[in-house]
Amino acid sequence: MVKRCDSESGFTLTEVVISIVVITTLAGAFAPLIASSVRGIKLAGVRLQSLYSMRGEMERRLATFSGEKRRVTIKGRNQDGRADEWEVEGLQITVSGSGSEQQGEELLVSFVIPEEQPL
Amino acid sequence: MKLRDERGMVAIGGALMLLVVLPLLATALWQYSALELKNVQRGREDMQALFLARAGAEAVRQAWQQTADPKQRPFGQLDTLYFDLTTNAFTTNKPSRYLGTVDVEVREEAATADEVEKVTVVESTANVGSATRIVRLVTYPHRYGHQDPLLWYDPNEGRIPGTPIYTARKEPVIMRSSDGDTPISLDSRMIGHLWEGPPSVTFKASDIIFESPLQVVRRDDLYGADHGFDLVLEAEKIFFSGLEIARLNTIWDTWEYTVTLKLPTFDEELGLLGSTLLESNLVNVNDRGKIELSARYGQVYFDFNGRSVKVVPYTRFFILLPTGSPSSITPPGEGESPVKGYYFREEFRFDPNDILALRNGFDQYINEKVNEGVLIPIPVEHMVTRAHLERQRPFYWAQ
Repeated sequence: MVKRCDSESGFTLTEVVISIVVITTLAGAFAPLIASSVRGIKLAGVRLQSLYSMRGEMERRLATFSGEKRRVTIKGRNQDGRADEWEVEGLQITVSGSGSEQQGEELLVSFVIPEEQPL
Repeated sequence: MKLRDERGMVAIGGALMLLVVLPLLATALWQYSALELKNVQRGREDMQALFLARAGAEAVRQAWQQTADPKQRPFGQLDTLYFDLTTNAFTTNKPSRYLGTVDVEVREEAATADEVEKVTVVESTANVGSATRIVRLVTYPHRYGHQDPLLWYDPNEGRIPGTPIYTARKEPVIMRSSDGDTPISLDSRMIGHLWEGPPSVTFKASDIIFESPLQVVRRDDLYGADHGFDLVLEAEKIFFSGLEIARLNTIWDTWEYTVTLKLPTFDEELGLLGSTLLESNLVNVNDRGKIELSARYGQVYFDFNGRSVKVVPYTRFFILLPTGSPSSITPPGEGESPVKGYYFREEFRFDPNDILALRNGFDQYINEKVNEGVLIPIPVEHMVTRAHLERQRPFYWAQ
């Protein structure tokens, strides 16, 4: 046997108003947080995509030796234990990311010595 | 009427539930968002650190390789490198704004359990933000001919003792005396003891790179010489940095102290087939007709940077005298490549007697061998430089 509801009169106005007030307050309080979280998730996706594009570009340039000719000075000790320095010439490869950046530089940097392929 | 019997209280209850659930959901979403951003940030720093570490390792590897004297090569912990964001360049001085730091260490490690063979390790550690990446470059056992277990010559005196055959694995071997200038020569005892020693010594490797001059026999050793001698070099690519061969006329005979070039066989026959030279256009158009299709060719290079390729004639009648002038290959002119390279057909021997018999000496001899197709000039664009030979298997990455 199905038990019938003994009241079929619905919500009273007071109840509805209180509910609406509670929900609106809650939504108002958390809307900025939710919106900012959604924006953050979207931004993370965009930055991740940009990062992988940069990585791909960097690998391509490293493989094709396309960079800017630069000299790097290395300082330290030689095998004899004496202070020494060495200057090497190679290609500096810099790949910048697109879009705004708030947390540091969106930049990949490397250095490679171009080599001709032997026979 | 009891309060819990009011149906509307269900709605209020639901709203109050939202009071708990909605903040929880919003906080979870915010946490997730922050974590995602943090992950991307970490990924970015990690990637930046990886490429910076590679940059440091590559720069130090180049410094190591371009320094010919092993004692002058970088070793131990080197100064920290920074990537300066203001000048967009690497520097050893700490800048105010930098992308990250690179610390490189060069050290030797045992390559085998018995610690006989050692490898050089270039370990580069980059730090960007909170990320750290380490890459390693490791030399293949990069052998000098004087190192154990080869012991092809004494590095201080440059003398080759009397073992008939010296074989390396299929790898390049560098021939260099301690100071670089002392020539590598046959041991005097071998020159003067025909009955005790073999008439030739063979060095076998995939490539043989002479960083010191090869002077097959030294003048003083010819006083006691009682036979000629061949130094057989079995390698696919042979690089000379100065070569001196000799002829000795005596009352009884004429002896030659020279070099024979051969192609080695390891698990396969090394060298390039004549047909490959043609198909791959590795020779000048004028020389195409001289190629023997089924023959194998090696490569020999003469680096004329301050060093010559010559044959010296001597005569010995009780005392030793030079006979005439040495005959040299004319070095390349200014503006030309300082290196001359030839494909040599399997088993090529420089014949001092033939060279000295020719009016125009070594140059004419080379021209005749080129016309015979025994030596084929290598076009400059297909030459393998000394640096290439050194770099054939110098380092491998271990990331």
